[in-house]
Amino acid sequence: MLFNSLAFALFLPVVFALYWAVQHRSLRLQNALIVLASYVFYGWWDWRFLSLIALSSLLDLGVGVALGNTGQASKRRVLLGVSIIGNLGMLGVFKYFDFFATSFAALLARFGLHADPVTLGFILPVGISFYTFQTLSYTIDVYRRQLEPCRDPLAFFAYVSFFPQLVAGPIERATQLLPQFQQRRSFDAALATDGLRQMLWGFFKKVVIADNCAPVVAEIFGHSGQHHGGTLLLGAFLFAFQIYGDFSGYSDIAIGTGRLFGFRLMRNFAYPYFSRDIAEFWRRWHISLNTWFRDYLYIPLGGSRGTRAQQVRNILAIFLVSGLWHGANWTFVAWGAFNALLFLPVMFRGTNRRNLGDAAPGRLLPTLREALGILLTFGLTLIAWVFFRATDIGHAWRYLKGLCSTTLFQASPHTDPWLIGLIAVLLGAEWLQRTRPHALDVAHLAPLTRRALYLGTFLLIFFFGRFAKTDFIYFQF
Amino acid sequence: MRTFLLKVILALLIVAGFHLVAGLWADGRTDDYYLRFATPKARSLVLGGSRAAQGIHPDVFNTEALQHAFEGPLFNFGFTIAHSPYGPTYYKAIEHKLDTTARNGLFILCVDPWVLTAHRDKANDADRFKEKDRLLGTQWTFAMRPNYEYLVRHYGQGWGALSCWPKGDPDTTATLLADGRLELHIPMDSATVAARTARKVQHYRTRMMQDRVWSEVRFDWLLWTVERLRPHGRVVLVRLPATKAILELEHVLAPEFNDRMNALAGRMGASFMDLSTLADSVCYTDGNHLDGPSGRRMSELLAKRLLGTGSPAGN
Repeated sequence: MLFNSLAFALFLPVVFALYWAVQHRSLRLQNALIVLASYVFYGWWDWRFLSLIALSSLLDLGVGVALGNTGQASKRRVLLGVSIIGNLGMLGVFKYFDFFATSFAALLARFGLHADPVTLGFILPVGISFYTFQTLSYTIDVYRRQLEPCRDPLAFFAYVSFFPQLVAGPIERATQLLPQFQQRRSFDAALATDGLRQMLWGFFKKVVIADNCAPVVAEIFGHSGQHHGGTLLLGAFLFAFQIYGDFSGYSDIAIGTGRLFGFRLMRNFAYPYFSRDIAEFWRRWHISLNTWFRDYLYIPLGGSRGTRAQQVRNILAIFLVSGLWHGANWTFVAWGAFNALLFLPVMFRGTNRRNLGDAAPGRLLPTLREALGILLTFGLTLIAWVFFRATDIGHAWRYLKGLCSTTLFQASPHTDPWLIGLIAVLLGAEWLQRTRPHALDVAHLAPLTRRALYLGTFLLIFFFGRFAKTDFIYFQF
Repeated sequence: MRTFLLKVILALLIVAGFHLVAGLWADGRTDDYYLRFATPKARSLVLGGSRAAQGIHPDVFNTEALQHAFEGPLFNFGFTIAHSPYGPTYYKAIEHKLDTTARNGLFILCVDPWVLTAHRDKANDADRFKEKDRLLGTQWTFAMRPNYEYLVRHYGQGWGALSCWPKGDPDTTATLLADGRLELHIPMDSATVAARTARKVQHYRTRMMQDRVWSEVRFDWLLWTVERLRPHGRVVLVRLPATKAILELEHVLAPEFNDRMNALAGRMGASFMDLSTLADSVCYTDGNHLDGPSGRRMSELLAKRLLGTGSPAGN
């Protein structure tokens, strides 16, 4: 079920009403309702994939309980291995098997060897990468004794399948979300109101920004060989806002929906395009995934400790794995590698933690140095996005080659002043609100001003929104 | 909770109010299909794919001179090959749109091999025809104005755009007229038309010919459509012209097409007119669709043959 669909518009109020109607009865009933609603939400795409979530939930619930029942180190390691192999095995079969099989056959062909790759041809289950990582975080935390094993199946199933963030995150940590399913929840009007505000802003980003950029981006990337540098630059620029509007919009709607049900989900985006260096960008973009990789891959590998070669290995590892996490295509690996190349010099100079706060604190405008840093960082991410959006590596190179030409600064006939104006509204609002969790966090303003802002955002959606049945980009990952 | 709910309900009422008002602006500029679901049930219909939608001009038939020749007005209910190839989905949609009180209606069924084909893998499995999940297969209401159901389920933009403010007409290349015909406003200079035609022929040669095959199931449904319409008036099967290159592909796809249409028409008490013999004397927007003046000429010819003589016209 898509957030921007009629089905969800009907589904949400029904679930909301039922959920709060039983709040005084029992916590188990509330959790059961969440599981049921989440399975309906997910099954709306394809009910057959429900078995995967159920299997993943059962596996980690069982492993968690078994880990709680044994103190023997070797047995605990085996149990952890079972969970990792089970979860990553499922991900590997459904997401990566065909990719690696065809890549291996292509590699053999380079050496003159012919092989017919065995492919499975499975459809990629929506959001599999998200819930797999979420359940894995639970098992690893229990193994590390950072979390008590969950012995309440309903709470655990609700944690794995919680519908607002099931298919595109934020990827929640068990330590943060699971306890919320084990506590009594009562309605908090302020939390729910802020949730609605965040949802409204998320819809603006999705249906106004991302979905208006999408057709122009598709046209420019689809016929990149026919366009001059200025148009290719516009294509990369608009894709940067398409993916940001799409993914951060989804996160806003997810977090906002969670708040309607009394949950506090983690922040996933913190105005990444105002980053002053690439390290700051990666602290602000897809925070839940990047911190996941930091805690479960980068730090166990040694993090920034060790020799320079080990540091390079660790950085490459998280960026390459992160790239591959996004999709079974070499373009994503190249995207990860390119970002690693941007990140390494910042780390070696020791400036990767220079910009920890918000840009231009206490000021309306950034300093010249900050502005240049923001522009440079944004420009570098544009190049990276070309790899992310291209159909293959060759396409990305041709695109970048076409972009780096004397026609780079020629005006593009695809420029839509309305769309540029809407992006300016997005950037303006987010810049003014950059110290707050989301751009429509306006609880501190006068009631009339607040209502004017709600109406203004609604009118932007009303006049400029697109409601074609488009999936969110990150569903495929 | 109570205050929260009251505020939310108030906000939703305001949102609903905006949408209710905006729905009143929906018209032939809304998109290529809306108006066909926002007009009354029809006693006479033009049916078929996009060739019919653009090529048959109902206003030629809906004149005072012909008002006693059939129960009008004639309404163009043709869509595209993706939406309205003959089959169970289109059949049901026609049933929704048909005014069953008609006894002397006129039903012009545009036929060509493409609207009787289906994807190679599912050519004779009606349950897997793709149009089932598209507009005609999912829409419930076919004659309601404003058609809020259509707008909610199928209109792809914020409803503010229905007012054409502030961005202007959302689709400046086409207008759906009140009689259901789709009128195009596209450049018609010879170079542009030639380029479009080349692209279209290439598309038909490389994609359509590879992907699609003749479907006996669709042919059966065409027969049942004729059977369904016969009690309500005269049924005519018409093959509209297309550029030579596309007609050649059609001949490869269905070499006995005209014979089968003639046989079907004869069996069902209908008639078949093959206007594709006039392919060289008309102009196209892209080789597959008649341009405005040519569509009018063909419609006038049809009107003359069908109604001017007062007797069914044969091939």
